[in-house]
Amino acid sequence: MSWAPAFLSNPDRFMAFSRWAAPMFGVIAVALAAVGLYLGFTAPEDYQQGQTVRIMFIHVPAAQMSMFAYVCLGVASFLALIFRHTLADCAAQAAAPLGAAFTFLALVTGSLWGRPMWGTWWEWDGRLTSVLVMFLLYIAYIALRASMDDEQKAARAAAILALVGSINLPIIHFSVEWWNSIHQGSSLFRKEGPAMPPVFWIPLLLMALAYMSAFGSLWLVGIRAEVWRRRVEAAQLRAARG
Amino acid sequence: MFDFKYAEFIVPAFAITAIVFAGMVGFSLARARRWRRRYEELTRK
Repeated sequence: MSWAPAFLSNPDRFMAFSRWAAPMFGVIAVALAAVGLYLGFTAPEDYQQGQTVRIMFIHVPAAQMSMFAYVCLGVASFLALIFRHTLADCAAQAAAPLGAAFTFLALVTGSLWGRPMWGTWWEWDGRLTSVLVMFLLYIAYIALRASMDDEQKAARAAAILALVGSINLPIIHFSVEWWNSIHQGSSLFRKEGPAMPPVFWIPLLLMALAYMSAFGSLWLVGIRAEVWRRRVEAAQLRAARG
Repeated sequence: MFDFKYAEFIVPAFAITAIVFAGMVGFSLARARRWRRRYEELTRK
């Protein structure tokens, strides 16, 4: 896979690749979500969670994607900051709103699950608070980029913010182990295997893959939009200079 | 099988998810289409 960064570092090659990859990931996402939702809604109710277990099929993938999008944002920001890579900067810029949307979904669906199961909409516990901090980091990243007229300065400042904020990722992941959390630990990707029967983990896995494909598709579309926007600005600048 | 128990929590969770996904897809496609058209207009000139 070492060829991948070099291959995608060329905007023309990236545009040619993403032209078919974005719709392909979109179709895969819809197909996986259709099967995952069908299996999720026909599964029996959980002996503890009852019918609210259905919320897990959209909450867990949203929470996973919120963190994965931040990893993408962090890596792209690092490449943009250190190597001044334009496409990496486009990738970082396109990942932030998607990450914010997935984090919003994780917080809202988690709250809707927490009310009947924990008896509260919200608790200032380690996991919930650190995910809220990640949501605020996404918002801060988007606001910082939008607040400066000099796009290069904005990109550098936002990249530094994204990299500093990445320290929150291990905090989110280990929060349930470090502190006495109301939130349960990992139940799908564990060394001992999933902590649930196949009737639950199969639809959950399908939904996780659907969310991953959806993110992949939307991220590629977002990067393409950003590449076009910069090409338009470059063309306008050339035209203004005569 | 889903039997509408706790529907007041489950339905909003799925509805909000559907709305956010529709927004993400709509916003992403509209933005990409807008800038691609602008670029094509400029290169045609």
